[in-house]
This record gives sequence, C-alpha cells and structure tokens, in this order.
Amino acid sequence: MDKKKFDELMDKWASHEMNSAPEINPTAEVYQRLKDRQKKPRFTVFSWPVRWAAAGIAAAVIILFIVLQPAEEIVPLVGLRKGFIGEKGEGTERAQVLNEIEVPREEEVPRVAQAPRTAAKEMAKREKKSQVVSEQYVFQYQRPDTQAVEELDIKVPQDKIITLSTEDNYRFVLELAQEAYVYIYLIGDDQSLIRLFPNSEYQPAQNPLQPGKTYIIPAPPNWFFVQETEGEVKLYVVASDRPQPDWDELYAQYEGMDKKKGKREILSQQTDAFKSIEKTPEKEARMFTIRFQIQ
Amino acid sequence: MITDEHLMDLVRNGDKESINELYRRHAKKLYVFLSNVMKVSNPEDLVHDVFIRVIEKARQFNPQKASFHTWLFRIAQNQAINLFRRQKIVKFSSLEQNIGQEGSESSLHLKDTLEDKSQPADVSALILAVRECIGELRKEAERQALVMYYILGQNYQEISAVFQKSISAVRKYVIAAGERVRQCLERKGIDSF
Repeated sequence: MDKKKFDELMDKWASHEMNSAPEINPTAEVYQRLKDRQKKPRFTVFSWPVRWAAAGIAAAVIILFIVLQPAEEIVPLVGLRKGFIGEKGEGTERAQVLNEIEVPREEEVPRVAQAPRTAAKEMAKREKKSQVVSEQYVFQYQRPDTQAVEELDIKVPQDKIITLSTEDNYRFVLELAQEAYVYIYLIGDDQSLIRLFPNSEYQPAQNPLQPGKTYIIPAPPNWFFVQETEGEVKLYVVASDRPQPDWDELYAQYEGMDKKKGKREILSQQTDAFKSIEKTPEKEARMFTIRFQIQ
Repeated sequence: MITDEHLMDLVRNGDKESINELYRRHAKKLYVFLSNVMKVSNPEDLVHDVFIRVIEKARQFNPQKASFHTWLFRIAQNQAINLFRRQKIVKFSSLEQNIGQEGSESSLHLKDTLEDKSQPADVSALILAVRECIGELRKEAERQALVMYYILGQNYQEISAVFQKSISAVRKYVIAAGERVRQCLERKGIDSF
C-alpha cells in the first residue's frame, strides 16, 4: 500500500470517527457555571490582584508610619530670653543694633565681679580701647536674685567651673583686634551640639567679624539660658583668620539628622576639628573653651 | 467569522451564545480526542467538565501564549489525567482493550457505529481493521500522535504544543506509527478499498 492510499484510508477512518461522535450541547450545569461567572466580581477578596493591592497598601502604611513618626522631642539645651535688666526697660535702651557698643548704666547694672564703673568711665575706656584696637572675649552671666552681670575673660583659662541654673542668663561679648571668622559652639553632656555663632537665630551678624566693634551674642536684649536641669556644658569659641566651610556643612548635617547615632558621629567629627584648631598656629586660629555646670 | 479567541472574550462576560458556538466547533473533536487519544471511558461527561474548566479559567486564557485550540486540548488532557488519578488508573488501557470492554460507553458507541446498516460492509471492515491496527501500537505517544494527526487534522506544531514535545519528535511518532499501521493493514490483507 503506497502512502497516498494509506492517507486516504486513514482520512476515511478519521471522518468516520468524527461523524460517529455524538452531538454534544452545553448542559444546564455548564450554563449555570457561566451565569455564576457572570455574577462573580472580577476581584474577589482572595484574588491575587486584591492580595497584591492589600500588601502594597500595608507596605505603604508601614513606610508612612516610619517616615511620619514624630522624631523624639528634644528640648534644646539653649533657650533665648530677655535679660533681667532688659525686662525693666534697659534692654530696649541697650544696643539693639549689632555693632553698637554696650554701655551698661551703673544704677541698673550692678557689677559683682568688677568694681562699679560709671558710664562715662566706661565710654572713655572703650574709646581708648578703640584707639588701641582692643580685644575682648568675654562670657557674661547674670542671676535673677542679684540681677548683676558677672564677666569671665575666656582668653584666660578658668580653674573654677562656674555654675548656672535654668534661671540664670549668659551671653558673649566680643571685640576683635583684627578681622576674624568666629565660631561659638556649645556641647552638652547629652552630646547635643549647638552653634551659637554664626547663627541667624541668635545674632544676625555674619562672619567675618570686624575689628574695633563690639559684638554681643545673642543680639540684645536677649540672653541665653540653659534649659537642662543638670549636667555640664562646654563652650568652644574659635577665632580663625579663614572661614571654615566644612563646619557649616557639618552643622547643617547635624541639624538635618534625626538619628542619634548619626548626630553622635557628626559631633565626633566636629570635636576632631576643634582638636586640629588647637594645633594650629595662634596667628591663624585661636580657640578658647569655657565650661559651666548646670544645677 | 468570529474567532475562538473573540468568543472567549464574550465567554468571560458570561455570554451564552458564545459557549454554544464553542461547543459546536470543538465538542466533537474533544469527544474524539478524549475517547481515542486519552482513552477516557466516559468522554461526553469529560467534554462538559472541560468546558466548565474553560469557563472557570476564561480570564487566564492568553491568546499571545497559545491558540484557543491548543489551550482547550491542554485542558482536556489535564482533565483526563486528573480523572485517571482519581480512578487510580496508572496506565492507560489500550484501544483494543477499550473496544472489547462491555458496558464502556465509548466501546458501545463504537460498536453501534460499526453496526450502522447504512455503511457498506467493506467500509465497516476497513474501519474496524484500522482501529485494530491502531490498537496494536505499543507506544502510547505514537498512537496519540497518529490519532491527533489524522482524526483531529492537527499539524505537528499543534500536537507538539498540546503534548509539550518537540515538533521533530511528534513528526517521528506520526511517521513511525503510520508505518506500523500500514504494515498491520497489509498483514490483514487490506491493500486497497
């Protein structure tokens, strides 16, 4: 039998098989299933699209929860308020303008640390200083009971650690002999880092500071005060002949950082930077530190 | 003419006429496939099961992956295998055994068609001889490929897609099975008709 004949025979057999197959029509069950299918919503609770959508929503909620979770509220170590004398009106009369020389009035600003001086004497002294181009790095503080302003020359290393409470105020009075870039940092026991200057929040003046002018930080009539009830605070005052852009960047990073670990790392870098300043020749940069205890 | 794929779109929306049309086009082929290829004893019931499965899986049908025809026969094959598993039938019974089984619906149906008085006696004898020769094929894959090739008019590509075998393997099966059936028919003295 050749292939052609074989194919014909197979086709005949195939057509017989097909023709002999019964006619089959959909049953009631098939129609019912079709009807059920029609009613069935496209997405049931357990369908994959719904599962994926639910998983996506859950993930989004978790991410939002993490992102929007309020950061741990930290009470800043430094607060700002008007001086005690200023509350009685002196603050407004005091140097409001950045470069104005502070002239405390004897009757309202009793000095404890130094002998009382008259305003005229003060003026005379300052005028004299301006001729000589004096230099001052003074840490001033006042207590509510005496309302007196006490001063510490921070250029002179302090043996005694002063004690301040949340009730006391403090500030810096700077006079430079030559143009300098000044940076004042405060580091608390809790590893918090606060830049007191330059910081537009406290003093609008910007570096470099000019010689022959008096800069009061914070800008009068405000004073700083500590908001913690215990611990120790270290203040770094750096006067450099060149700007420190790295420090600006570090501080911006520190302020933008939410995690404590990250903040600690930045603080460590800043402390290292202070150490490097200590090794710098005095002509280029000087650093003074002052510590006070909070009680 | 509306394509099978378009009818499936309508089935997804529960269209009754579309399922009727799919039955008209494919129910007989499925019946022959299930009875002759998969050796199912109750092919008509399984045809309905296959269409129910088609309705259930309508949304999963992707014409980009396979034609409706291939997809339908894949479902039919899986349904048959599931049925065998349920019946704990591990090995498919041969065509010869199936024909001889009393009470089997397909065997009764085949018997009825062969006893059809309208068919000339020699034609009935020829068909019976072909069935016997196909039943003698020992290799299941060869028998299935041959039946699908001649009865369902499917090409090698479609058969390979249904059985998930290569086209060259399917071609080999069809040629080898055809040769054996031809030799068998010659042994039975059927040279022509």
